[in-house]
Amino acid sequence: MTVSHDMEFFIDATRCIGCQACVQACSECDTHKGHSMIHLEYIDRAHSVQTAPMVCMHCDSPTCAEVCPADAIKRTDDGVVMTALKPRCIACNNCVLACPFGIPKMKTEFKLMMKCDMCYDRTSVGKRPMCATVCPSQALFFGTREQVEHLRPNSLPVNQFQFGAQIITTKVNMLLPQNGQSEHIDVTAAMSEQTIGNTMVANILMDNFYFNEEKDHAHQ
Amino acid sequence: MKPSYTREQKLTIVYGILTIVLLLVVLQLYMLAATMNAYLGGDETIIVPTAIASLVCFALNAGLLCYLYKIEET
Amino acid sequence: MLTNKQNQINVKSESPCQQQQRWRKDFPIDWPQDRFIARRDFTKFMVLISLAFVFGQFWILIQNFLRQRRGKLPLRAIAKINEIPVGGAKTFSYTQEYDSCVLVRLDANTFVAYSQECTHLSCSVVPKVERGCFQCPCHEGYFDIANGRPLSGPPRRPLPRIKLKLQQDTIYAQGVELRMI
Repeated sequence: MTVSHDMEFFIDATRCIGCQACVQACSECDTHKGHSMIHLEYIDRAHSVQTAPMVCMHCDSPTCAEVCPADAIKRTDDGVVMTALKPRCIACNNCVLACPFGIPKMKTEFKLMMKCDMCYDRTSVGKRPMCATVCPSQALFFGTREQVEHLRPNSLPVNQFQFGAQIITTKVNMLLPQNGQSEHIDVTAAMSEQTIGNTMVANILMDNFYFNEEKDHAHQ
Repeated sequence: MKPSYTREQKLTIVYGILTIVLLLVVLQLYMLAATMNAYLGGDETIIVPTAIASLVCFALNAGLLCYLYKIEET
Repeated sequence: MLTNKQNQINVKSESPCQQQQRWRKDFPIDWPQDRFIARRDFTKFMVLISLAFVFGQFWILIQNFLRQRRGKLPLRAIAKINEIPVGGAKTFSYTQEYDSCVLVRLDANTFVAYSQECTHLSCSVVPKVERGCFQCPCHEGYFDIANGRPLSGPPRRPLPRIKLKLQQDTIYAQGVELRMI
């Protein structure tokens, strides 16, 4: 009982409409106590409603598993990285800090890390993960590479990412434009700079003055 | 090109070796109990042969374990 | 066009798995490999037990060698003849301090002595002269009082017999006879 080799997971963040159907569907599952293992990231909440769904990328060399001191994160032979084993997890948060994609969720109240396991109870018997099943725009797609090539000819599935000096190859693919260029964002470059915040202008002193004058007028 | 075993093959090999090792250990246990019983009853002729046999069993076990470690190194 | 070649770095000829340190390889992440390592570690434990058994065998060998080197056993006075009534018994130590033995007077002219340690698990046997047996209370083992052979219960070997010598009204213990049957 393994996940079929030709079935792969594809994420197209541009198609995400932020409906939270995937979050609701994921939280229906009892294996993670009603907590959703998928979450939506707001790209630039101040200016746009665009969201991107974040699922476990099921890396070939999973960083979370490499740093786990209790050997609680295991991978099946079809490449799906499992969530933490309850008897072993010590809730040390090492995996939370280590994952480049920010996927592991620490539930300190019951001392366990939980993360997406690609609905292994469903995918190992030929069904699709819950999030991919309910996504109305199919931003989350579970199918064969041929299907994706046929349905989305302008998209290119990518499964290799570079974080600093670490090159990560994942099982989950992200769909990017065919003619796109790889973007290199140095997240530490701006660390020593001053933050540029938006200045808020609120004429509170003037408003107060106005208010008192009205009151005076009323009294008179 | 050194032949490398697949994970399934390695699992089968370790099961086979474990079976043999368990049989040898049970044999050694029986020999130890029988030797002790004989010694307490005054029979001294049995001691040296069983000691050598036990040593041979251990040598076989150790050899099998070394093989298990060797198939991991690539 | 996005290509992998843009991000190529030089990889060593070994796979990432082989580059790992020994202790990392002993705790694998993949389940099939984890199963293999778990069974290999169990085999290692079994081989260590095998080594322990070899030590046990050689310990017996050494004990035997030391016993042979001790040579002739000493003569030790147990009691005077008139100290023990017919049907009575006396405990004594022979050869070492902790080797408890028992001397029994069956009738006017018959004395028998055996080691008091039951050949099953070394509990002290109790002489029951009227019933003609020694009884081990731990697991209900019975030995014939005349020759020390097991009658019933778990014991399989006879009680070691203490060789007696009468010299001028005093009974001496002069040797131990170990028996298999």
